[in-house]
Amino acid sequence: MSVAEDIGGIKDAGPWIEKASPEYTVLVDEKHTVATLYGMVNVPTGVWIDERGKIVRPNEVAFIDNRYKAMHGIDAQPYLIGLLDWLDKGDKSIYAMGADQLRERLNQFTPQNLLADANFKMGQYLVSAGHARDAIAYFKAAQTLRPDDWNYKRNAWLFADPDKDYGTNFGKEVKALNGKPYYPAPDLPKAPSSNPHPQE
Amino acid sequence: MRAIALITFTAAALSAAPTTVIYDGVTSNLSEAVSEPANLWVTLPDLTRATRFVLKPQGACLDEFCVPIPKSRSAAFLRGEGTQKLFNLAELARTLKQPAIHDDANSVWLFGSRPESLLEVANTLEAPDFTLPDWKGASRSLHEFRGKRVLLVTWASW
Repeated sequence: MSVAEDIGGIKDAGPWIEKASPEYTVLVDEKHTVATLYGMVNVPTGVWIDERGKIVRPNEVAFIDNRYKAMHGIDAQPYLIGLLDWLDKGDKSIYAMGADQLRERLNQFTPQNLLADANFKMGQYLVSAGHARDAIAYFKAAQTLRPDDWNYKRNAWLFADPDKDYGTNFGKEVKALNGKPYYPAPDLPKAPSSNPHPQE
Repeated sequence: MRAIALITFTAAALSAAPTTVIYDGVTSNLSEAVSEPANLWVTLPDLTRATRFVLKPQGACLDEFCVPIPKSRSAAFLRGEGTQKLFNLAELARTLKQPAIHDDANSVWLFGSRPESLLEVANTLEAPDFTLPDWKGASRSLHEFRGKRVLLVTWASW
């Protein structure tokens, strides 16, 4: 289930969806509802959900390939191998997270983060109501309250001039990371050797 | 006593104005609400229309969940009488530790997520359900996929 976190809705996300001609479900999320519910701060973010509707792995960077690896440094393969393993083995997969580890991860709904989100949603509403200039103050408040949230920065910049109105842009913000990762690396268990003819 | 009450009420009525309220992601246009820096007074029908909360003897209730309104705090929550009774939605938000922000230029109040509903995820480990339009406009929900293993992936044009 693929969800576009785009304030601009089908107008912004549509062309990409059309190009992909998807046979799977693709939803359009103007209000960033899914990002709010799952505490997501960037895209692409993957969540594994089992047949009973339970979370198996929350919020990890989920690329299909390494087209941007030069920028963010994360190899897509291990995550994909894990995904296929879970699709095959379900609960028995070593990639299915235990309850304790899951609870540790599902801890980002702090008062400050909720206030950041409310500000972002005010900005989103004002943009959708035709008041993009009025939205800027709220997007800025969201970005200040939650500086590690890239959705708040990047979707907001689309409705203004980033340099003029926000005093920054994507390149500058990435540079400002100064070595910190753009995406946290998925904490995957070591896969058992898949080499049928181990040397040792 | 009566004269003062009448003046107070009239002052409140004069500042009632059309207001947009966004609550739980639902946008409602209220024809009359009283917006103060820290308070939003709405009629009881508007309270229910905008938030699904209903004022009952047990307090302000959303389905089975009720927020009691003790007598000592009733002035913070309620004012006026009968059909003119007004409820302070901002006070409810404070009680539920729910963020509330307002843009006066555009007469909008936005109420953010209630912490207890999001924190439930860590308790139950259940993937929060949602309903959104697909790219052809059809309404789809996560719960439709019960019985299947789902990879939920967010992306964006930006």
